Amino acid sequence: MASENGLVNLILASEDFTAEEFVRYHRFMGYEENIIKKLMAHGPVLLKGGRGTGKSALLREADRRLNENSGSSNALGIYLSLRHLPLLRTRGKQYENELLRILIDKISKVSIEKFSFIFEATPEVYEVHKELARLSEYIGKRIVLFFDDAAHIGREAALEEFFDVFRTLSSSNVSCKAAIYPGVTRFGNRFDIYNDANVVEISRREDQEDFDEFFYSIMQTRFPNELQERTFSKELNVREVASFFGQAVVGNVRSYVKACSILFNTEKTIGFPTLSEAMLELSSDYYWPMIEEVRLKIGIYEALIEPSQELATTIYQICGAKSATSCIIHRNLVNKMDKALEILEYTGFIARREVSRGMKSGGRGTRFVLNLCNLLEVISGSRLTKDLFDQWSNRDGEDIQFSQTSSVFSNIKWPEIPEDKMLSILELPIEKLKKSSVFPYGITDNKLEILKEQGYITVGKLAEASDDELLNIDGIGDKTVERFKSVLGQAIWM
Amino acid sequence: MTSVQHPLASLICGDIDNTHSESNIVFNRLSNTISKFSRKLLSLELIDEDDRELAPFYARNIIEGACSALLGRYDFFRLFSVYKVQSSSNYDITKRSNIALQWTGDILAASKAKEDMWNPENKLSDYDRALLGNHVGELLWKPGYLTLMDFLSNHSMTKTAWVENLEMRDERQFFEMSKTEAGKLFSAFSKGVHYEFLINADSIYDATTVQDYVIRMVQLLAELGLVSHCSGILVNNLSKEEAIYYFQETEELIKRWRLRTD
Repeated sequence: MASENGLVNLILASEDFTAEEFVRYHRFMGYEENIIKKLMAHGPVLLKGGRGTGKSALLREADRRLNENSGSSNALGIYLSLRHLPLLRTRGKQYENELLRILIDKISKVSIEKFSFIFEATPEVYEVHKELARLSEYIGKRIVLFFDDAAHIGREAALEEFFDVFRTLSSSNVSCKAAIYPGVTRFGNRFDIYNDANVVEISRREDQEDFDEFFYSIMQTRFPNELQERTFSKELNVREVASFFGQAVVGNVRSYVKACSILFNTEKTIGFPTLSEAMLELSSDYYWPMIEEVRLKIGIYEALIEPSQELATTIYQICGAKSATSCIIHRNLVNKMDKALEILEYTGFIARREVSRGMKSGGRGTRFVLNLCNLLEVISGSRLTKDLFDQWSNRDGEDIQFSQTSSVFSNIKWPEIPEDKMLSILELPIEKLKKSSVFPYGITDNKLEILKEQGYITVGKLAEASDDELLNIDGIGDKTVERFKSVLGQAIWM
Repeated sequence: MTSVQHPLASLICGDIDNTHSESNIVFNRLSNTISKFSRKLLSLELIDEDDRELAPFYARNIIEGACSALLGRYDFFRLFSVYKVQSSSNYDITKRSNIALQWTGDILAASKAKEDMWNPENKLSDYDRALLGNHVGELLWKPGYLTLMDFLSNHSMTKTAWVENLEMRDERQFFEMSKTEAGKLFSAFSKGVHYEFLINADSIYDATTVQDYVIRMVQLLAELGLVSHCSGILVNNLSKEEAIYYFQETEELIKRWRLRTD
């Protein structure tokens, strides 16, 4: 992770941390510990959660713990990020080959370094399966493969192949664990979601036992200096603020770190006006732009961005009029608007809670909680008062219910979804990656010029370049290549 | 009952009255079995290899006992027949019993249900009475689950992780996941007690994995137990409040055990 300007808390994705920094900046409470244990244990697991919920951190931590005392451990963890552009561009057998090639490279490296074992397999799934069994016997340990960034919303064309590989490699001595996003529904004909994996869903709810402590510990870990320097008004204390902000961002860790960085980026005493300002800034400069940012990354569902924005506006206006922090949407409406709701979940506008709640008007629906930043924006006066703070902290008030016959969403036009579409971000000019508030470690003007002179004019072109190709360019060194990778990671991946 | 029952046993077997009827004898025995093995299981130290090897044996006894009790609460004829045969003077424990409860057949359906389960053209043999078969799923588990969800949403209570976990599913997911989870866990515990297992069992049944299996099993049984009291068609029902109390007590015991064995 880059640490220039001391902006450590602006690094929001766990993939960007070095091994040492990862340990230093991550905290896990009872809720997370339970998930980490499931990831370390034998057996296939799909870890499901939206953007910034901490999937990668949990996978990395499980891998780290398995390998921490490798001498006494019964298992070998192998962590593999699937942030590889070729995986986005291939389908069918070609995808399978690409995936297996990346996997073989990684296993070979680990097995040689740690056990002087030569892992020899061609990119054929049964070959890899057999060779993994041989490795497991040789080292006397079971093997846990962690596939990070395995499945994304809008990038589902190759998922059937991924889950085929996942299923075939899982055996009595090999467990596969993969991070997937909510809304991934294409598992292929051979993969049975109930039989072939245990699905663990990340959902940090405000009534969880460790919720307050978890968010307070993140604040302490990521913002120790700011906590010492800032004062809080006498009506508020730091733990209340940590907990309230955790609720405000519906339990999303990445959004929470962003919220804290905005909150502490002020010289003022932290009171209700400061909280208000930070929440409104988060709404206008983080959540709404995030939907736009996601547009470029969700391939076939790009056309759903406008309807999703309209859906969010409608839900927030209706709930905001009554300061309601949650709503129940009838099952039939949820089914009709499922992908748009997933986009809103994905971008942190809403979070799913009870899936099957009885409704006053009959039938059943899903209860969603709303993020309080966007809610504050639409309530009368857009100001967080002590009363509102107390009301929202206690989640007082009734849910707004959208019944089956509700017409409030009837004006939203739902477009046809194409079979396939490449991510738009790859076609954008390379200037998109310029250093900015979105990309604090973005590419400087000088490096942009150098890249353009060499013909790297689109994001996709740069993403396709190998390290060696880039290092051959005058003025580009190791550190710059790492920086390119980091910004490309942020731009292309979720 | 002869001793204080484990909360998991109370949740599974329900309210057994004090009369000396044969049904009470059967349910009390099952409750005692579940209690005894639950206590033994949750006193194990998984760091210890000997303890670890016992875990699948205890766990298998619990899952079989619990599923038998749940089965008997809606199909007492089936459970009672086994009891009667075992009580008969001709019963010989060295011989295979034709009427013994079978995991596949009594707990999991022996064959896949027809798409149209209630089609009048279906044969009698198409209707399956297995505890986690699709027919019982339609009649008992799914309606029971919805009743529980309605109860939870209308009553203010502290929501523990296990309650929240239940709420994150719909009735179909609850049933399908319970069915497959029961099959997987039974299989894992069975392999753990069979020593024809020739691959490296030490690394597969390590402390982390055994702990995970045990927690998953107790959670699954507690969920089935809780929902069983909401379907309205089983005997020995507890009130929903009592059932939730035992459910959360079981969760608390597991939480403490996890901390101790971590």
